[in-house]
Amino acid sequence: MTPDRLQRIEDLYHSVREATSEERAALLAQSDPELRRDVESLLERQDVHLILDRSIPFPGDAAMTQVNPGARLGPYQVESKLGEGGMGEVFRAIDTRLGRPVAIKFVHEQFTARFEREAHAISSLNHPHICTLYDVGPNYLVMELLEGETMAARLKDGPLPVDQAVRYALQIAAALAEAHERGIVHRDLKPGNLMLVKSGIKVLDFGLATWEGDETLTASRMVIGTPAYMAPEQREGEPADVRTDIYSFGRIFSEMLNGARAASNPKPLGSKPLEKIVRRCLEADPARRWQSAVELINALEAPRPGKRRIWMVTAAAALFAFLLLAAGYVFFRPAPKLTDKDVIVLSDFINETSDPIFDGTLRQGLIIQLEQSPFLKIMDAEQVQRVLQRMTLRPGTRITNPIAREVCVREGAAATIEGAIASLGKNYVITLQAITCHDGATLAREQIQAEDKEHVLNALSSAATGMRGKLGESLASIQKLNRPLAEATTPSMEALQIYTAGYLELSHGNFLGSVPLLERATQVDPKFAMAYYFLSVAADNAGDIALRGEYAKKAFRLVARVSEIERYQITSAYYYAGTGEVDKAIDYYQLGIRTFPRSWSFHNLLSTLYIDVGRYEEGLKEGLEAARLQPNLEQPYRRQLDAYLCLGRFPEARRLAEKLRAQALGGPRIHQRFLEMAYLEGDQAAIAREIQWFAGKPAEYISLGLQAANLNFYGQRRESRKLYLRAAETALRRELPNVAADYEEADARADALSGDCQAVRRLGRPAEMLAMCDGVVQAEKIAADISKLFPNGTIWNEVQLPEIRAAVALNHNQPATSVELLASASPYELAYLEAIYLRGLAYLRLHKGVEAAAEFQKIVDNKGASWASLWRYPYWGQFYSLSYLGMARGSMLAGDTAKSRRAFEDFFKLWRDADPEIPMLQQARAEYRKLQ
Amino acid sequence: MQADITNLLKAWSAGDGAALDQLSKHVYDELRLMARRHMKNERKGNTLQTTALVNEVYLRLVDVTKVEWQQRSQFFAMAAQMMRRILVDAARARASHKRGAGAVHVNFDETAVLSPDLDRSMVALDEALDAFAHIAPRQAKVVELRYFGGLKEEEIVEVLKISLRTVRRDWEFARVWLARELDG
Repeated sequence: MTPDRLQRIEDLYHSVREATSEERAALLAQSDPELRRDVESLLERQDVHLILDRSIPFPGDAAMTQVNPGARLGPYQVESKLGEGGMGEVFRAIDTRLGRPVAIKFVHEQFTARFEREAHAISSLNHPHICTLYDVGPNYLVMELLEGETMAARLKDGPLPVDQAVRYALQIAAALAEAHERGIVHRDLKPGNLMLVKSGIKVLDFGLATWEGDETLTASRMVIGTPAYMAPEQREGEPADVRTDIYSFGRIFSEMLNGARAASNPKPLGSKPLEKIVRRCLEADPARRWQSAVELINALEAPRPGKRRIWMVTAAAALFAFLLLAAGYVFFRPAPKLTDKDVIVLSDFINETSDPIFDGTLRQGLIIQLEQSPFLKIMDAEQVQRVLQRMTLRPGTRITNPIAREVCVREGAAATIEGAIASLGKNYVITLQAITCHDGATLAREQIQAEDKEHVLNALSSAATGMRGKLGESLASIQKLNRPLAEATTPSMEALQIYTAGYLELSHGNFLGSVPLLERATQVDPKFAMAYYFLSVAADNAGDIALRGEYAKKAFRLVARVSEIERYQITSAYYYAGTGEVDKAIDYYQLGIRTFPRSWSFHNLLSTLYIDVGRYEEGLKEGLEAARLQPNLEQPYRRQLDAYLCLGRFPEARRLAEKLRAQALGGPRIHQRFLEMAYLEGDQAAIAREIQWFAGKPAEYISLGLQAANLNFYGQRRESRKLYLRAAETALRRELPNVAADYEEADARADALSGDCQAVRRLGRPAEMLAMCDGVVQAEKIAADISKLFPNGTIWNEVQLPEIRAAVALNHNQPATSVELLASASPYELAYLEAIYLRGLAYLRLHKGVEAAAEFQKIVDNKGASWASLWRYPYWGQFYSLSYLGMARGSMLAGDTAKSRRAFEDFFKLWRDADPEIPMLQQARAEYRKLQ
Repeated sequence: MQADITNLLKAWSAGDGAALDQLSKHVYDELRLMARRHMKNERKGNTLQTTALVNEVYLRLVDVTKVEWQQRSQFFAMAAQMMRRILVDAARARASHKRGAGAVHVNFDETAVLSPDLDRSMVALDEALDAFAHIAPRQAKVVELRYFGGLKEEEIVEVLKISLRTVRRDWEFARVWLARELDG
């Protein structure tokens, strides 16, 4: 269509339209057929009501009473009809934004503006015994979907047991107290408006009687409704107030006690105090009734059978009355929604903006914000992932609201928090909603608007803070431990988004994949402390100790800008990985435990640290506590297994292993321990099973490294070397050069320990072996470099540096100095058997046979620790075998030939199939021959 | 505020392009704000019409005693364009949302209350109007001013500098043309 052509059409159209009917036909007949058809088709429409004739309808126009199942109403997908009443129809529907089932009640006419204002107040009502109003349309209400029967239906079966009636009465009164406090009067309280659900009573339709407009609230209209429950003044058209509800309450309570039919003619109740309560509710004069629901609650709560109390007008009595009132009030406050035993599952936010930046980011932001609470417990990402796996969903599956609820139910958690973000022009609206998973009741709801994208994180923080209060956390706790995201974690939405992606990778075990993301997050926000923290964790997983320390230090420099829980994490990591100051790290972990008693993670970290420094008993205690707080994750069990093995408590380790296997709990790090245990106990079937478990898995390098270490145990260096090589190659393929380097080093160390220095010299490390192999200068250089990294490191200064220096002293033939140097290692030596071994060697050199044998005996006595103390260095097994040789030599020096011979024989038994060319073995044979 | 807007309006009228930019921003924000407020509170019975809305914004933003009649028309012409954008964007977002497209701007308040039919026709109308503007720019402009901006015929005369008869003929033709396009 060209403008010219259009012009011709328009000209003809106007000519025809303005022409008389005779002219019309002629005009059209003259035109070419196509033009004619065009114009005719336009003319046909001129008298029809067209879209442009409608004014643009803004909200309010769309009358939507004709709704059927399957219809879509804004975000609501209508599913099925639940019922019909005088007021309208009720449907079950799904709020597609939250994936939440709701009930929608349609009424036959549109709401008044006044009612809508009131509806806003009603929707703010949030109470376990009030049916929550979610949304109000022009002629419909969206409400919490409840399943159960109405009190009216229940009462048809007769009266309720007194205890139950009182319990329900208290719940209704509590609901009234909450609403009245907010200035909302029910106005139409009746058994038909009370639902009996699992959690007790739900009061429906709060304040909705006003939708008809209470200026026009005619008696006739209401009388058609439910006159039986209506207060006398209400029937006379006087304005309703809280005491009107008290009257209706009295009617209902009486029916609950007496049965529906009896209520109009109440017979004396069994209980005098209850009778009195009801009577006072039903006083015709509002001034003579209970004046508030709180008063009513106190009366209901008063011990039955009630003794008449004579109130004395004294300060004491007044105080007592006040306390009683306060106690009743506190008890029935809407407050404690959750307890500090409950766990919450967070859904992914429903992102209704077109901006993908909010995907995933807001959930992470919410976690960060809520984790600051010592009261709430958010289900760990790892646990959620495990449940997803059991639900046969891919890891990283979006946690939609239904999935979150499923996870919540499966894991016995208390509630889910659902979130949504929508845009409103430049503005954004964030909605949070806590929902119990057993009955879908709304516990709390927060909706906050952000003026633009930059303020979204702030709004999220505020919403989360509001949520904490509504879920039952004390104000004092919130004030003490609450820092807005923007001040704490990061003010940058973009950085948070990238960080979230990185954190997810990390929590799925892909620590390498997490690194570039976390690094990018620190580029976007160079002050993003937690991103550095997790980079440190990733480096730790990748075995890069230097980088781990570097990132821990970077995080620590920014610690002023983090939340309290993050501060403890970062600070303890700084002392642990950054400076190596173990005592300070322990202090901070303990502080973390005290401040966040529900966090398993501080217990777990502290346990790791204790085990690292050989404090196995304490490590076990913390590991048990971590598992108590978080029984569904494997980390605390790793701690327990390590502690049991290091303590030589094998039967307990075995029992735990069986339990874990039964629960199918355990990744590579758990199976690593299973394999260690199998080696320790010489359980061939278990060894085969565990090796098979690792076969072909990305983490197979762990199994290969342990197999190599085990062969060292038997002196089979050639086969061991092959396996170390394979372990290193496998680790390299997984881009873990530091782990590969560890295996290389372990192999060289095993050679050096058994008397072959070539590999150590070629490799130029490890330092203490270099020192023993005449590479003193190089060893000291390595030591100096590491000292620069950890000038105050506890383990470095007390254990590892002394080991190198002791080795150097041995090489310089100063064994006394070696023994002296190693004294500082004693408190930690059970985790650092190398120090014991070196001390044994020094005593041998000093010809102190008894002392030497005692040192080597320690290693033999702690067989478990030889295997399990540090997973990253699976070469300890060799120290164990060689310690028999050391004992043999020590006993020989001490003149105990019998003991020496036994130790030699034990050693040869272990090394029965050892490579014959090993220098240490040949020497040992020669020494043994001399002994004969 | 009011004085600023009034001055901006005058400056624009005198040919200052930068003033238009600033003015547009204010007017757009205000229109959105008002639209939202109305959506929240005025659902009962009487439809809020775009005309009333634009007029309300105008009265709020501009000191009417200090501007000329022509300037008022210019203001309304600008507001009409914006109103079209606001309404169509909202409708498009809702319509997309209904098709299950997740990541679309959806306005919470609007979502709940406009009927699906209307959303679709609003988006379709916008598209048809765009196409129409290629072959009949003046006629399309008349539609925008009158339908989205709520301008009176006399005001359109002023803004577009055309005769009243042309305004009427343009409107009449556009309404049937667009209706046919939408039916097609």
